[in-house]
This record gives sequence, structure tokens and C-alpha cells, in this order.
Amino acid sequence: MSPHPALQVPEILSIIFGNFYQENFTEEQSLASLARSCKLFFEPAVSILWRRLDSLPSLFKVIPSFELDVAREVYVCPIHFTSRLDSHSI
Amino acid sequence: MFVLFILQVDLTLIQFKDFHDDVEPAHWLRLESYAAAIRELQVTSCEDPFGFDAFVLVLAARHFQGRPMLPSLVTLTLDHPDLIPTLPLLLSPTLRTISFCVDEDIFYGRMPSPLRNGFMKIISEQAPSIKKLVLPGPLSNRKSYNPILNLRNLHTLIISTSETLSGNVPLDIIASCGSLVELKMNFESASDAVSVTPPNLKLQLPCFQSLRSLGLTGASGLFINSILTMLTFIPIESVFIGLDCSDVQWRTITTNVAQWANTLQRFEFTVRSQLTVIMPQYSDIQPLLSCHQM
Repeated sequence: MSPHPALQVPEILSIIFGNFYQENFTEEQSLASLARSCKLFFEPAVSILWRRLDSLPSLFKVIPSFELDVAREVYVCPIHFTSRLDSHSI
Repeated sequence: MFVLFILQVDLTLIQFKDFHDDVEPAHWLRLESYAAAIRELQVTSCEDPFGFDAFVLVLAARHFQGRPMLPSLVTLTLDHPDLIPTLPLLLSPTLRTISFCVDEDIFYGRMPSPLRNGFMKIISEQAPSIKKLVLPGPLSNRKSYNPILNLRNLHTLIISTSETLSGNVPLDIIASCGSLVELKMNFESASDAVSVTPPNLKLQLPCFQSLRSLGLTGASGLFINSILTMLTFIPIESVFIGLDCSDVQWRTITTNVAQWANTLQRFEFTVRSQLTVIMPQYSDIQPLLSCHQM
């Protein structure tokens, strides 16, 4: 079943979803649910969900390779070191 | 250049080793798609208990290669000293407000020296359209302030300083910033044992062409009076003064403020001594009766 034509207009969706974004509080759960509900809702919901960020690590978390090092309480990227001598010794 | 700013700690490691990572290009595209939506980044020390390894920033700097990581960012509030080295990555031409609310010593202590010396230059180059700038303290030297003149839309400047360091805030350079409408200087009171000579700067016209609002808090009455006298010829419309002392020269300050009788519309004057608000006598506020615009 196709959605109502009004719900296919991104601008209208942005206005509706904007109600979940308050000056001091964003209803993140609701916006995340909207983003997952259908492809049409994804862009407008995500753009509002990510409009305000309180933590930079939250952004880096979207990269799967970055892992949480629990002991150091930091996100790290597994890096493979090669001795410069080794890399040039072929 | 970014890498040098960001990475001080593990520099020796990088010099002797080559490295490669597992981040796929698609992962960076994913990050970019979310980052493009961010309009406001407000990082305070208590929000997230976790940080990130310096290499994460190196990889990000290597990926973005001078492009802004947050291309739609409008407001940046930084209250987390660990994030200070990320500043070059976070700046964007779309920024309108930059606030640094970190304690001055921590702020400059954590800032790599190339970034500290060129702090204002980096802001003027990477975020030239900012309207509001909140600085945690005076910059390293007088020359560092010159790029502020390139911020042609700068409307509000808030600087935290102290009476002893106030000489490091070159008002004559800031005065040349033609777009500046609001200037606030928050002074950390000098201890009683320290005698500080009030600034005796002669500003030359044209200066503070657009300045209409002045805020001075924390300094001694003598200090405040000397700054008020300096700005005699500016048509100030709004003045906020906050003092934290018991011996207040009310009459001198109100007389100095009354010099703007023709333009002054709003005047707030708060005096506290050990959290007790001190009230003036009627005679102390008499000079303000001439301010007919209020």
C-alpha cells in the first residue's frame, strides 16, 4: 500500500518530524523508529536525529572498524604497524 | 598539517613505523552522510565518558584532507579539553557561533603550540563567517589577534581574562573590527595583594564603529572606570557591569555610564560581596536620570 501523497514530500516530512526536535531535548527514539520505518522517512528523520550532537565519539561509532577499548575507555582503530625498514626491504 | 596539530603524543611512533588501517571507504562515506546533518555540536565534559584514540583523529584528518568533517555545522560549543586538538577538523565555513567554555589554563595547556599561535588565523580561514566567538582567555601574543579583522561578520566577542593579563587583550586591534556590536570582557578578579595598573589606552577613530553593547564583569571599579572612559565617543546603547567587591565607587561608575545619556537604553549594574547583593544610595544613581532613552 503506497503512503498518502503528502507523506512522499520530503519537505512536509521534515516539518512533521521537526516536532520531535526541541531546543533542549530531542526525541531520539521516535526519530530513530521513523528512520527505520521506510525508505521515504529515512532521510528526513536522520537529518533531524543528527542535527544536534552532544558527543563526538557518537559520530565515530558509525565506523564499524573503530572498537571500544574498555580498559582505556576510548574508541580505537585497529592499526597495523609495519617497520619502515621492513616495508622497504622487499 | 592537521596530523601535526592533532598528534603530539604518539609522534615518535609514527616516525619509525608505517601504518595502515581497516576502515573501508564505504565506512567513511557512511560517517560523512551522518556528519553532513550535524548543525550543532555541543560537547561538554560530562556527556560522554568515552573518548577516542589520537589515531582515530589522524585517520579522520587523513581522510578529509582539509575538507570540513562537519560541513553543515552552525554552532560549536567546546567544553571538553581533550577535544581541543580536533578543532581544525571541526571548523566549517558554515559556522556562526564558536564557544570555548574550557578553563583557560587547561584550554591553552592542551592546545598544540602551532594551533595556539595561529588560533585566530585558523578560525578566520576555516570559519570566516562566524558571528559569535567566545574565547576562554587572551591569546598568546598581540599578533595573534590580527586575523580577527578578517571576521567581517563578527557580531559578538566574549573574552575571559584577568586584570593582570588584560594587557594581552589588545583593545586597539579589536576596536578595528568594524562589525563588532557586542563586546563582553569577563575578568577574573586580581587578588588584593596584586596591584594592577588600569589600562591607559588611547583609541583612535575610527574604532568600534558598530559597538552598541558593552559587558564588563569581575574587574575592580578602578579598572571598569578606565575602560568606560576609553570608550567615551562610542554611542553605546547597552551596558552590563558586574562587580564582586565591597568598596564600590557607585557615583564614579554611574557618572561614566551617563556619558552615553543620548544613546543608552539599557543599564545593568550588579554588585556582590561574598554572595550578598549590595544596593546603591539614591544619590549614587542620580547621574543616570539624564539617560532619557532608557
